[in-house]
Amino acid sequence: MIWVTWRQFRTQAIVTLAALAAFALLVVVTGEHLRHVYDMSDISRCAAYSGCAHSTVSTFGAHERILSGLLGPALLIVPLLIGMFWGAPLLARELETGTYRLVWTQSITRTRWLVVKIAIVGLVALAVAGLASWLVSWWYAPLDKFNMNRFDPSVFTERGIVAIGYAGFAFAVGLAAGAILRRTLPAMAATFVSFIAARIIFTFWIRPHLLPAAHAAQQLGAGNAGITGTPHGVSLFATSPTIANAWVYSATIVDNASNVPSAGRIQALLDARCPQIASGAGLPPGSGPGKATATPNVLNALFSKCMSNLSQQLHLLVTYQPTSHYWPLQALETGIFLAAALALIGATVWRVGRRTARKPAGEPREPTATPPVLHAAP
Amino acid sequence: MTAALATRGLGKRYTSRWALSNCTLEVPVGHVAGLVGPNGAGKSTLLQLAVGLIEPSAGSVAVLGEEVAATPAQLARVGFVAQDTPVYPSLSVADHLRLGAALNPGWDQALADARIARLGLDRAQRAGTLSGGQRAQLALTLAIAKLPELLVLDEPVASLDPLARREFLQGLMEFAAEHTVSVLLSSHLVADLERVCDYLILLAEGHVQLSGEVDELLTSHRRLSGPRRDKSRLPSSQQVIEETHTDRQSTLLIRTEEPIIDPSWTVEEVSLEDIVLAYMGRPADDIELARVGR
Repeated sequence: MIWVTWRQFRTQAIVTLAALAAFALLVVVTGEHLRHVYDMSDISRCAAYSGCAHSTVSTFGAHERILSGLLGPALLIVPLLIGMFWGAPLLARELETGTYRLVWTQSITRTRWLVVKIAIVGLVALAVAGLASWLVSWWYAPLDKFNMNRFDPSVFTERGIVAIGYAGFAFAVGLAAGAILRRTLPAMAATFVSFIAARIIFTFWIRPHLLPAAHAAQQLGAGNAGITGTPHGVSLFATSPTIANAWVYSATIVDNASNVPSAGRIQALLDARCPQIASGAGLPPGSGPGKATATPNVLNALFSKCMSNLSQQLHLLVTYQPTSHYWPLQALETGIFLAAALALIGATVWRVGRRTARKPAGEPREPTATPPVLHAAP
Repeated sequence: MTAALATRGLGKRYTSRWALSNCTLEVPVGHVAGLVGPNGAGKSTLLQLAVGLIEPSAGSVAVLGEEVAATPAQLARVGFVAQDTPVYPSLSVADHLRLGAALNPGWDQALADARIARLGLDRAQRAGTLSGGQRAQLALTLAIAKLPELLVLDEPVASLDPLARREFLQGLMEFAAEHTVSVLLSSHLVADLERVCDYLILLAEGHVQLSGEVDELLTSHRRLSGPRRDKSRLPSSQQVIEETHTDRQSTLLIRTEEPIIDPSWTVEEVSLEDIVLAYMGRPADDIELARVGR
């Protein structure tokens, strides 16, 4: 059975291996270059967003811009290709071309036949995804050190081990779609749609709830708050603060009792603590402090003073996933996708083993209305 | 002696339509049994039930005295050539033989090699490029080299030209003669079966209309023609299968175990095809009565 699986899977395996080798070559060559640039620049000595000269940052950022936009998305496509080209045809092609009638009547139960095929192709799929993800993660390591945004959805899904979970899941979706639809092309299309839908749902509605978020209080300052002009005066707003390698859910301005102050209260506080800004001195209506063109230094000084004055009553409450939750979240997401894959595979094996609900391919035609042909051709 | 195929109240339903219903039959071992019936009669359904590709919706089916396709050992006892003889298009002839060897513990490599050599098939040729006849022969080789005790063939010659058809049936007969094997093959052509079968099962509209040994069927059926007469005035031992009447004359196809002694009848022997056609023309309520044998 192992030989049979290998013989049918051989071409795809060789093509995949060749593609993976080419990919690895590209990643290693350009990745070494990227590391060289990183080590030569000052980037390694300054943390993200601060302490680096602007020119240093932009010079480093200009390196490998095209590749850095391609390698990550390429990794995202790997599970999709596995699901569509390995998972979907595994059963659908046999059912579609009728060869299941040949192979299921050899001296091997169809359950064993299916389990061996799934095990071999599925494990290769996981290995390919893991290897590709490892290469990509390695390549991006200098950029990630610089960007410190490991929870950004595109970064989170293109690094680490989650690609293994995606690959297993896509493979199982393809397999199940093939068993239900019994045709290769519709099964591929269904795999494409279902996999992307599952990934979107997971990213937006499931991943944020997997682990309880942490909370932190931050002092108001230029990095997390701003003042804007309104028709009635000025008002205070919070901006998402940047915490290195953390995933910020929300940032809310609260008072010392952790309540969200009303607009009137903020107005009153601004009037009392920041009279110059509240009166609109030097602040054109409708613009934040940083955007004023005339005297930025004066404005910045006013703003900083205002913020430190306000800090006695107000602070910023940040809800976030700390960087220590990165690997637990990676493991959880991988585990959930793999568990879903196992459930789908189990259901498919059970369904195929049961042998019901299957119309024999030989007799889909309706009974003919014309009299039966009982004479051999002369 | 166990039956090659025994079914009891066997039925298979696809959504709302019963492809096969209330099918009870027993094919003894050692026969080359033909399953005949019009397209859509349920032949494929019955055969796929017999090899375990599908499960019954009602009743039971046993092959060689065992539950169907339950274990690898049971699967090894039954060879199957499916309708349209599917093969893997991208695999070569040799690959198919290797597949057969890998999946069947009782595989007879020498037999397979000899057959492929005699057929003149190129071992390196991809199965997808074989002609219909060659493909059928390859499928047959796979089915017989596993040395089954029962060989089931679903319309194996339906899509073959007359020459390929004859060669295929010849190959099948050679194997059946050299090995102790029961054969069950279906066709919608009586002529195909007449040449090779010694047992016949007639299936129409999902029911078994007739089953029995061919010799027995041929000796027990006669065509009577003579002056017009109503069938109620026949001896009770004579069962009318088909009747046609003109103003003066009656022609009856009857089944009887007794000799026919009425001098007013002209008695003729009938061909298997006549019998099959007569039974197929019968209304459905007579079906139960028409079953030949015990």
